[in-house]
Amino acid sequence: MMVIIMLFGLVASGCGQKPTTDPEATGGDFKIAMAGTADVLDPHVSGARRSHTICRLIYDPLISRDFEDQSYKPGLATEWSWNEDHTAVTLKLRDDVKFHDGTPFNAEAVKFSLDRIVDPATMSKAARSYIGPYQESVVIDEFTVEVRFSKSVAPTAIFDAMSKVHLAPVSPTAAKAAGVEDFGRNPVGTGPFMFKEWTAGNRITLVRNPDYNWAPPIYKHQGPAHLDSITFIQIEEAATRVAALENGEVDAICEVAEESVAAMVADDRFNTFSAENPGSPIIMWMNTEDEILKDIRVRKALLYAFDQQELVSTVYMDLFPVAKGPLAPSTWGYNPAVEDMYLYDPDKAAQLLDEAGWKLNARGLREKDGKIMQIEILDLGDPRRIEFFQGKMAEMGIEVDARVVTSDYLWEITRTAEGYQMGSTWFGYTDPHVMYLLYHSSNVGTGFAISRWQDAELDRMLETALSVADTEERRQLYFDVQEFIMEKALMIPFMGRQEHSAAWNNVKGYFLEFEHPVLYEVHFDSAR
Amino acid sequence: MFGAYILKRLLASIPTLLLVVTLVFFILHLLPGDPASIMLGFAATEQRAFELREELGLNDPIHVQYGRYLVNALRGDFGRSMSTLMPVNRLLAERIGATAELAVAGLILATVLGVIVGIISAVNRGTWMDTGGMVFALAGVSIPSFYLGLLLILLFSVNLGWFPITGTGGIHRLILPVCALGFEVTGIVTRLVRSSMLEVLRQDYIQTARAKGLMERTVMYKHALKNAMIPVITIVGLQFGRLLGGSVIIENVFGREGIGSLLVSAILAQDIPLVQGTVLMIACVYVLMNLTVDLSYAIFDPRVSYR
Repeated sequence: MMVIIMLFGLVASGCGQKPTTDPEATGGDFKIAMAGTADVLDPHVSGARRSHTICRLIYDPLISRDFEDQSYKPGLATEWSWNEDHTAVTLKLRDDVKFHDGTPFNAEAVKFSLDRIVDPATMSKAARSYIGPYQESVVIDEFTVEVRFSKSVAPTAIFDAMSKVHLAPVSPTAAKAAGVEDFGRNPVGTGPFMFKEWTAGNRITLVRNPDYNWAPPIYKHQGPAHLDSITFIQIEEAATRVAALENGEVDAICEVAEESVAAMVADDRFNTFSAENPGSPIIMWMNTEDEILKDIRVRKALLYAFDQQELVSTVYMDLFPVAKGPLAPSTWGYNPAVEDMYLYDPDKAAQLLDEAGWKLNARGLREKDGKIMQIEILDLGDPRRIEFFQGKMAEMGIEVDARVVTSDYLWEITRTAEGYQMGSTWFGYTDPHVMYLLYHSSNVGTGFAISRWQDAELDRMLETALSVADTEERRQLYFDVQEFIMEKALMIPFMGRQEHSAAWNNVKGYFLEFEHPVLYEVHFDSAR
Repeated sequence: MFGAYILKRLLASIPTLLLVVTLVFFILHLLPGDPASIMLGFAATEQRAFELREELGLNDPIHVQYGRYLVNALRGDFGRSMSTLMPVNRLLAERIGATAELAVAGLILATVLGVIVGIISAVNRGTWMDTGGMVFALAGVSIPSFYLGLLLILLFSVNLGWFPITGTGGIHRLILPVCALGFEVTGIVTRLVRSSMLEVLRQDYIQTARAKGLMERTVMYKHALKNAMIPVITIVGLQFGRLLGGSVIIENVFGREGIGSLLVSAILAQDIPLVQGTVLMIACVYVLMNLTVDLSYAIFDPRVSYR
């Protein structure tokens, strides 16, 4: 209990708090160890999570997002205005920015960058889908650019995309010279840190950009960073990361394993940080076209039969948030009403299964028309939650086979209805718009909408929410969407995701924004 | 004479390498999943995936793709990694040094330590030194390298602070990973040296040597050990493959970059060119190592001649 209280305290203090900075504190080489590393440092191309942690320092996004209330603030763009039918937005840009190679930042650079994302030669992984129905950019004057879309878009969805580093401007000079293949290893942006070297595959070093003077207003200071350099080191093994922190080889680590969190919290030498990841939590999809699962009574039964609180408490030591709906609780627009929709009720589950014709046979297994109820689940590899799920289903008399697969395989196999029954995924996203990707009928068969549920009513709600500009109206629409999705029993929420991080106590200004450490204002306040 | 033998052996290894490449090629192409869709990720539509497959030549019949791959491989061009768009050669060159360093050092440690402990055990058979040696060997083959690695980190890096954990370069960064990696093979070599020595020491010519009045040391090293080493060399050569495989785990535990970790992430990403290039590189290293081992027979066994 004490641990939970302490953790809540740290969560409250560790994320969303505006860091204070000591103007005297400059210098130092900061080292941070993470489980993953970048694939390439080209924000337009990359698909790896940690590329974006690092790219946030090399590049600046067009628009910034406030850490506390998620509102949109200026970034490299200072003002914006949409046209009547939301097919174009005009951005006014800062005129005092330059790229690390001296190239001036202007409307041409923004046009170049956005065009680059949609250019097939770039082979963009994530950026391409964030940019939506982008058509072209038109340079109005040196610091004004009009971004045009081929159809009407939701302003908030586009701002969400522009606040990500995926759409950040890159130096046209450097990008043209290096070409797509080499730019990812020699990145040039406008950010507070410049790329120095990438050694031997797993160690990336950045150095301070001394000319930096244009940090967005979401930060307390706007000038050059305090640190001399930052080195990102990849250490895949969780125990080794902790050891590297303890013996002082690194100043901070990410992805602290659950087993180590309590020890880190108790240890005075370190501060711990924790942040919940927004978007779609870890959910177990149900294929609504499957023979067994097409019956809504069966789907609802599975929902009543699963106890998320027990999973999080017993298996994950309460270090992850409980999820009861299609959005993680930390996502803007989360509807708490979903928490009461399927309270754990094994008796109700049994009753529903009986009604659906699946009765317990002599061996204690559910049987209908001579067939035993067997379900195969595809999971991305956490044996703990798989086993817990199998256990809970076994209590209902349902046999569950589990197969561990890679996310690429899951992506492929869920394109056709015959390939699977249930599969688990999660999708980190800062906006409820993620539900469009995962539940709109147009995304069935793309590997996204894995439940395969096609519903005109749901589509209409999602499309309306997309085009509405008023925040409150939008929130209410998404509230309805979440209840609707749960009502139709399209998936079983498992748990949210939470990032745990730890740093030596002489590290100041460090905090987490969702899964990413924010390092721009980090400084050391004393030697260790 | 020696040179001709080496050339002959190198030529003979080509069919082996060809077989390896062919196997890997066909296995990769039999895997479910479309590499183009994987590369495109969220942006994958039917149309774009098809276009990308065209560009990458993945729509061609498989024998055409195979032929093209072989021709390019002969020219030393292993294509571009699909997940990072970088040339495969460059990715391999960056990392081969660290893995080779680890595996070769592991082999040297295992051989030297294994021989020393094995001899001590054999010569002092039945005493506490022999028992100690055998316990040592048993520990080596029983303790998983993963676990040993973490224990070494805990003791020598965190508690004692003698060695750094991460990174490459410098002997002090190599010691712990090499010990963790090589301990198992050390155990194998120890037991083998011991039994081989005991076998040799029973032979008549050893009696003769002693009867001739030779110093015990000469009997031991010039006659016994040299002969005892012959089967040991064979095994050591084969164990190198184990060390290369084990380096994947050790690279993971110690956060060292290397071919092992590159291969694992390439397989998970279904990055065909990178997997093929990496496996071929590992096969080449293994073949060369075996050749080196075979050549060393000449030092130990005068009956062997090279033609």
